[in-house]
Amino acid sequence: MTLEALSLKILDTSAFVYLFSAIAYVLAVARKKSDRVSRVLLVASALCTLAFVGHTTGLAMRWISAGFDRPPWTNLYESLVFFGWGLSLFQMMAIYRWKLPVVGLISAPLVFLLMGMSVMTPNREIEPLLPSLQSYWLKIHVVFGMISYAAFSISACIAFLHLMRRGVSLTKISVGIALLTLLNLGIAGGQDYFTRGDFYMARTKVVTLEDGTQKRVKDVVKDYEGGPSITRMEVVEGARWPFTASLLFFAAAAVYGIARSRRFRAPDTEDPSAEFAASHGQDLNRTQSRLLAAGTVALAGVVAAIAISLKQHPEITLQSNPYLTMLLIMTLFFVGAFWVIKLRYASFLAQLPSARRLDELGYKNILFGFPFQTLLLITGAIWAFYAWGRSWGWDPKETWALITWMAYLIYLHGKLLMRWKPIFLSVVSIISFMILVFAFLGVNLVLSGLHSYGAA
Amino acid sequence: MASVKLTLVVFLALTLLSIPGTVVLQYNMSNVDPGLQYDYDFWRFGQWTQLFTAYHSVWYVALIVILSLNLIACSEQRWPGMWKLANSKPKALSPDAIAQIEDPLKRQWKLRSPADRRDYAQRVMHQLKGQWKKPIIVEDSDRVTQVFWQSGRWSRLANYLVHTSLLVVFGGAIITSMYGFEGAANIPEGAAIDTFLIFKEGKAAGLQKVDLDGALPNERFLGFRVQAESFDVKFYPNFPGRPQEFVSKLNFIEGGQVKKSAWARVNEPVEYRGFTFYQASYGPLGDFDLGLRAITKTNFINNQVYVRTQLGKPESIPSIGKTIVVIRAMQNVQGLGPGVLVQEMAGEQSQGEPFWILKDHPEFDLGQRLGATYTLVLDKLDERYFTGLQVGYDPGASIYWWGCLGMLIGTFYALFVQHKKYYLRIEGDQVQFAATVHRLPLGFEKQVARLAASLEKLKETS
Repeated sequence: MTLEALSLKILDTSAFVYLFSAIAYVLAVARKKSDRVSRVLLVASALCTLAFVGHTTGLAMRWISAGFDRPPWTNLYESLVFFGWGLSLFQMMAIYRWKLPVVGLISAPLVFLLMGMSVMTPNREIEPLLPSLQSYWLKIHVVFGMISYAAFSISACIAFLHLMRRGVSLTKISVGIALLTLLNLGIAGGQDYFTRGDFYMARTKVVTLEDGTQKRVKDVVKDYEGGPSITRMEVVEGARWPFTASLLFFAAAAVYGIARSRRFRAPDTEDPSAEFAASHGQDLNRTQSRLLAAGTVALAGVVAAIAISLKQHPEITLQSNPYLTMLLIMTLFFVGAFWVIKLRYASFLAQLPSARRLDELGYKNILFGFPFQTLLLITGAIWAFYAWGRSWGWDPKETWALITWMAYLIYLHGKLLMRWKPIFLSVVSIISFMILVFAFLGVNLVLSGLHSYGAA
Repeated sequence: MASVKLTLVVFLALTLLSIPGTVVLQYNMSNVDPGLQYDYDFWRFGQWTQLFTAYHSVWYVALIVILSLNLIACSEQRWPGMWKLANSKPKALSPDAIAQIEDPLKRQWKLRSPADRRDYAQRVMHQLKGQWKKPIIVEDSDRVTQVFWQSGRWSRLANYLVHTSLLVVFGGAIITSMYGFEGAANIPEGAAIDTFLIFKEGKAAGLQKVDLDGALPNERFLGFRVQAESFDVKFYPNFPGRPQEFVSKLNFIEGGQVKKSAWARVNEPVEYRGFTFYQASYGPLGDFDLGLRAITKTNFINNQVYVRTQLGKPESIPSIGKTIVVIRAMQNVQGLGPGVLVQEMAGEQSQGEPFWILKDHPEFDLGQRLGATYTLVLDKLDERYFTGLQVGYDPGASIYWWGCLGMLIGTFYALFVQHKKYYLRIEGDQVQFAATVHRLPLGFEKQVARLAASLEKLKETS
């Protein structure tokens, strides 16, 4: 086995270990006893560490086998692995340095999202670089992106825990779940869901390679000689109704909850106790819980529809639309985490450090990430200047990176000059993170431009 | 104008206004004309709201102007206060003030005896000076000695560097958009051009329009000739069709003389008289430079004729008594490498079926045309390309790069360096150590704890 193939194996394995760690985190929160350190939590963190070690080894082996001049972050597959590694590194920091292993409940599914997509990415060979990518600006530009995006991501995960720890009502968290579902599946469905109301998956076919091995590839056709390549698509029948229903149920629960619970204002005391948070946050009544449960069932219906489609059409596989598959899994994780938190609310809150500490950690990570985001923009401009003859061209990827930058600019000015309240800042951090997700993945999947290698 | 609220509103508006331009096609950016892509009503709406030139629209530019004015106003208003904070005279902290500092940022310990007070202060001063700090004694009375030192006070002003640099970047961008331009030129290998097509042109760019017959409306004169003397593309050996490198040799010609000649590579542009030429793309001209060898089978050692030909050009070869024409050439014939499709001619009429000659498999022709009296060998198959160059002039670049540098230094300085003040107050044998910081840094509490421990140790050396 070549080094390259071995590194792929190791990376794929670590993706699955991340999956198990994400499951372990949910189980760790789900346990009944409310002592501070649970054994399941230790297992989850150990799995995370194991996966991180494999991840690092795999990445290093890939770099070695590709040669120093070709760093392992030059195509879609590699950028998924590399950015996943960055987030995993910050997760390690959170577990060991900041003593905050519970953050894995939110961040481990995110790392698994990136790694799972990488497992399903069709082009994973080490391909030599196109001339425009043969620039040392490429090497540093992407590294700065990785650092800043990883810091911002972990900050958003911590911001979520901070909101919970301050006793922000579960009603409001459920609004977040609804928005997240819309964002995730909106990205996964691409324009298709919004314009045509359906999810599509690419058809695949099995081809035999020169060396006799068989490989499943996308079913690409050309209408005429020299024409554009068109991937043949299959509609995931019946996915649109459960998805729309789940969105409506989540939205209804959110609207109902907000209308009912207006008098519960989120407590913004200096540093609330866990008991205080628990008494304020648990504000879901029976109707709301039922609506949320219906939304969850409908989401499971999306999974069922996809399963039925896979059964009916042997030519489509889960790999046909990795983004749909993975974002759906991540949404399920977050919905699952929501239920576990709801059912074990007091014991979950008891596992978190003080709200002040969480606020501080979230802020420090943004403080750390922001200069690197600035570097990302500037090195990108320098590279574009040498490669394309313009430093700033308002290409969608560039523009969305600028939008992300401005979102965090709002956060920093709000924090440093306006002294915004911690709860509001955490909400800004999470919204900025959603913008970041769109800038990193959504632009490549939904919009197109010079960075559109992701569409392949 | 000087309110931070306005700043945040402008940020939010800029963020939101940046989004539509990434979704809707833009003029001067894509090859597709928004006017052709959208239906008439939407196009009219887009024209009216300047949606198709979103980042140069009145709205966007107005917001950036407001942001700049707001920035200047805020900076001016805050400057005296900030300057004072950075340059404030060190003053002694009262016990009450120390009591107000949060617990993790203060420590206390006892000296051996109250008489040790001034000696201890001197030892602290000595150690700090050894660490490149500048401690001063801010209070020295009968009972109390207080030592003060600080670091990173200029980070209070680093945001001025960031914001000034941002304005410099804006300035550079304005100059580029006024005087700069972006365009492109495709030059067939060997040919020369003296005009190019423009995409973006500043109002004061001063380029001369081409008003000859058949000229395109966006065609401009360069003022000199550019010849692509040669063009080379190298492919990766194991990845067919994946270019490894492409370069053009460019000659800049004025008054019939070559004034400059240089290689333009991807990521390595060439400059001539303010114009910068970027190697951006290449493409086939649909033209091949072919070298064939006709060999008579009965006398294949001595009877070989070399023919240099092009696509579709009939060549009569007396040695074999035939006229042949190459009707197709391909870099890769079904995985067998380069090849040409050859047709025998009889006068104006084609004769028989066309046949393939493969460069890497000369034996293929021997096998497929057993009855023929000759065979053809393909020696050379060079596809001719045009080189695609981006042509640009960016007079603001040197300005906005300085701005970017300033922004970077300022951002790192402002966010990673904090103004830290340390107070060591000794009253009798009681030592109080406290620190303040103007913005929360990473791990400051641990730093304070470490520093306190090292200062506490100094009491032992007496």
